[in-house]
Amino acid sequence: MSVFINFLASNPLLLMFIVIGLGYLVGNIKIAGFSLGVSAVLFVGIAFGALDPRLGLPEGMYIAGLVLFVYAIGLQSAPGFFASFQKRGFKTNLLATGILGMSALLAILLWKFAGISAPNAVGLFCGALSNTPALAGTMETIKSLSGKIPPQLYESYVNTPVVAFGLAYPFSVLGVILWFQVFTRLFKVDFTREEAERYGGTGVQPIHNWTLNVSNPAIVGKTVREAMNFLAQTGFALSRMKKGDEISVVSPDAVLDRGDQVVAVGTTEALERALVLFGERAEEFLPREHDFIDYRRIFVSSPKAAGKRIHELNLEKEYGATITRLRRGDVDFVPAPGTILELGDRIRVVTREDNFDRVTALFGDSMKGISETDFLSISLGVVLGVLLGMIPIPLPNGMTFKLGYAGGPLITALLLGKLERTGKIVWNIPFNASLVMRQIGLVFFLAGIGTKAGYGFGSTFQSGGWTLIAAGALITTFVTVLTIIVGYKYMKLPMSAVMGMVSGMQTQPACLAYANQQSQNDLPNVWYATVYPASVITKIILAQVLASLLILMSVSS
Amino acid sequence: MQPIINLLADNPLLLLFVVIGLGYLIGSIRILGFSLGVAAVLFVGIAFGALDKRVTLPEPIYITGLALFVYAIGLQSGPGYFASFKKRGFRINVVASMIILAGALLCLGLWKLLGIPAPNMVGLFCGALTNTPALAASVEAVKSFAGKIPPDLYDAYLSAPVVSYGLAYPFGVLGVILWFFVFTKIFKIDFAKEEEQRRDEAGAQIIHSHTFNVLNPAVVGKKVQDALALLGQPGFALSRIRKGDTVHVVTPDILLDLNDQIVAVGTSDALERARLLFGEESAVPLSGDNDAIDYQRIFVSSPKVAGKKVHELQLEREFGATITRLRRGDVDFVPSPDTILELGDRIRVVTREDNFNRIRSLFGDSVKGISETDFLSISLGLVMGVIAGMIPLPLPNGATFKLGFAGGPLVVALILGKIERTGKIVWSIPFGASLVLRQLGLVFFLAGIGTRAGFGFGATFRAGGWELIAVGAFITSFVAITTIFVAFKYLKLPMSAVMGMVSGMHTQPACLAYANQQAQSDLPNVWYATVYPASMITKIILAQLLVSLMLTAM
Repeated sequence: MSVFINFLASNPLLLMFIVIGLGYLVGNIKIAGFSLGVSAVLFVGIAFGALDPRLGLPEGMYIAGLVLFVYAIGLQSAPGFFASFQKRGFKTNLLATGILGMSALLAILLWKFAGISAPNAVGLFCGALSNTPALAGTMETIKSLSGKIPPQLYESYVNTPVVAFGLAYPFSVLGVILWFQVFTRLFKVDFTREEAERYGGTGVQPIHNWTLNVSNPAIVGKTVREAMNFLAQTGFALSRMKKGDEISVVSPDAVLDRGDQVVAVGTTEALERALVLFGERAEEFLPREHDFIDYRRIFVSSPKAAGKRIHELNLEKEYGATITRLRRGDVDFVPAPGTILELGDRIRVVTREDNFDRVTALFGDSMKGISETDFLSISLGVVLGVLLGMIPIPLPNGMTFKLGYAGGPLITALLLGKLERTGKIVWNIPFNASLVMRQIGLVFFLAGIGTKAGYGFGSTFQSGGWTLIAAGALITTFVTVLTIIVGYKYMKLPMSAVMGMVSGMQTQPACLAYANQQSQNDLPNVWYATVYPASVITKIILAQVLASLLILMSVSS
Repeated sequence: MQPIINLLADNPLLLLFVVIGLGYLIGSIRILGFSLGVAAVLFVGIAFGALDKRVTLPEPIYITGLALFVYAIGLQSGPGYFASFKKRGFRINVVASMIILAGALLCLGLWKLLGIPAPNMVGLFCGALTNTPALAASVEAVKSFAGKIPPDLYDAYLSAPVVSYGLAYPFGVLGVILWFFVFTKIFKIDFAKEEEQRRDEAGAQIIHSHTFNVLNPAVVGKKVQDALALLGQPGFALSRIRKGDTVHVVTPDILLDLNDQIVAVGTSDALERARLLFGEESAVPLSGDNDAIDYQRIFVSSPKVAGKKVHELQLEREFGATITRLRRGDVDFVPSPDTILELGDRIRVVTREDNFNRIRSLFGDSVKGISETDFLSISLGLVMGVIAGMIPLPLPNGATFKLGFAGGPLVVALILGKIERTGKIVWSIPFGASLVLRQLGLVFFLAGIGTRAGFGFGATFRAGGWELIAVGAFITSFVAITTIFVAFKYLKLPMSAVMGMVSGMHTQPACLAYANQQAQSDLPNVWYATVYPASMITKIILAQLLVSLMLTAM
């Protein structure tokens, strides 16, 4: 065994990939319909870390993973984050901050009545809510109080929070996942159905095309654009139209005559609107002439088209082409003229066959293009993010805190993702590349903190840190259970959103990873990003306030 | 300046991304039609590294990057590697080894002529050809001569190879890239045209679909599969057939009758064969009957079908469907029944419209699916690769060597890429994900070795270790230029293959990265992998032989 440990200790690369590989293997095992998923990498990491203190991954590696992960998450969540701010983000953030505040009070109660020392209580608070910047903030506070602490106790005051943090940390991840599982069962949440309800009853609605006869007198003689203006919201796209014997791509300036046929593409609901507009549904499909007007699926891979609104491309005028469907990730929808195209979108373009070369050149249509990542944009964003994380931000109490490696890049990415592009630089990463970066960043990070926390966990476990572990678990449970009940029962949020919110309040990517895997949609990401920034800041402030308060009170008593 | 250096020295992560970002920026600047591309990350790394000893990236970051990069390259090149090895791999490897041997002889000559001490000369040889295992092996060899070396010089003898290696190394990378650039200009290489020619030769041309009338009496009354068997290698796919008024998907069992109309998909050459087989091309194309038969592009994202041959799926029998085109990366071709499907392939499937749901669920058709990387397979492969790189392999002269972090994962990946799948584990990584991993790994690696090599280089640059640097550059240039001439002029290899070969002989991923970016094809990868293993071993043996020869001669 010790040969094996020595071998791993001298080969961090091997250790990392063994942890990741075993983690994936363990995470795939399903017991009673429950599998740990990618979070298993963390627990395998803890198991390895517990074997020997030398089995830790170098910090540089997992911090790099963390930064890539949060940066990609931030970019991807940006639109949802800002949208939810308008709708209900404010209320949610207020709730999150309130619950975090209550958990700080709980830490004070534990100090007062459970005989837990001040530095321990602060460390538990940070660990139970799994926030490293808060821990770093605490230590700075303690250092700034050095004059008030008896010199012989100073060393232990600085070190104790770290140990307590390490003890509470594993349950702050494990416990949250455990409660997710318990409440998912308790409330009988069916994520597939939940997702379906979110899309209006029938799941992701399939898209059809209907051929319609122009027979509504109100639109005869009008141009297509004027006719479409009758509807506040169309939700369908027009692809081809037949005038006499001639079939062409619909242009906004075409005049609609009685007896013309148009093909509309959209969900059944949207097509009903098209039906009302044009008059009646044709008995027969407008045949698709393969030699004339055709459709093709094209990848948006050119930075020239990405980040632009569809109407800015002037497709109808310049190319005689129209986009009838858009697939982003695995979701199909009918794009509106204001839809912003992203790298990696797959669009269905209808046009004359001899136009395809030009249209293809415009959008790129290269698999290589959508996977080749622009590291200039990423590096610039990450550098900005890391720098932002290093800026000392003054607090009302005269102290300062820093956002750190998680907070800085996240906030930067949220802002850049909202901007979409600045001059020639496209901030968004193609869907495909983003997914790979998130995954690789996450597994590096999980393997890293796992092995690092592992040894402290093992050693204090033996020396009877049970009270501290229990106290930490209490704080974690309090925050998690309270948020789940309030969010799901009173705010009537879908469970996937609640899980994202709890993960965000815990500022814990591992919980988010579990939530993502269970819910199979991106609601957790959106809610994670919604509450994350406020939660990090709240926790850092609370930890520092808690540290000054408890230490000053215990020293004076 | 000092505060910035301190900031970067204290924050390796910041340093990493500053180097990568600046590198990308500089790499995208075009001067006279030439841009450095991703290799600029290396140069920016060296520039930063030269600023201060503390401005350097932690080793694990770039070793991880290196392992990911070579592993992904290896997986992708696996099939091509084994195919090319059969064709001409042996000859090429003999050529490569001979040129490296000539490089070693040059070192002996320079040692005699210029009076450069033996331990320095060996270090220059290893550095100029950028091979760390060879350096390690020569240090071991020096130790075995401990009895012959004056005791007071022993320590100097052990450190001299390392210092010289560090001096020769930067030009060992930069020089190769420089010569690539120079010769691409001299020979007026147009990579786009070169790639086009190669594709023409390989038959990957534009794909058409044509309708044919079944008139040839030789095939009337035969089953489709029997008719196709007449051609041996048809090279085209059959999609639909019209019998009377109904249109069907072509299955191998369907009988060909006089005046049936059949649609074939393939290159012009292949369609010419189809015309011979069926009789005549129809004036009117078989019109697309919307309700009955249609085609769709579907992503192969399900691990159940990836790594399997097209005919194993029994598409015609089970689904009444057929695959007429396949797009891998950005290349379209007509798959044969033996084509192995890979994750991320986009296939065009022809079938009845009501079949599409079943077919889509068979293949997966999920973009998320092809981007979600299976880290179980990657980790397993990398662990095997890293361990393979640690195994001491015996050399004929009794010494041992290790493949290291670059060689081990590369060799393992080549084999796994060829195997494609083992039980439930699919080894190949989807095209898109592989590209991201390669890029990420590469920029980490380049930034890492750049900053690490930078300081030593900068210091001797200032202090004037000129002679040694010049000798190292000479060796590098000799090997690179000789190879380019022999391979391009005499072996008539395309320039992209030559660049891959030179990079492989230098066992240098950074040169390969430059070659890849210039060539825009995967030829450099295949040739890199072809000569890499033998070059590695040749260099290690030669380095040890050099030590023995020079030290015994003293």
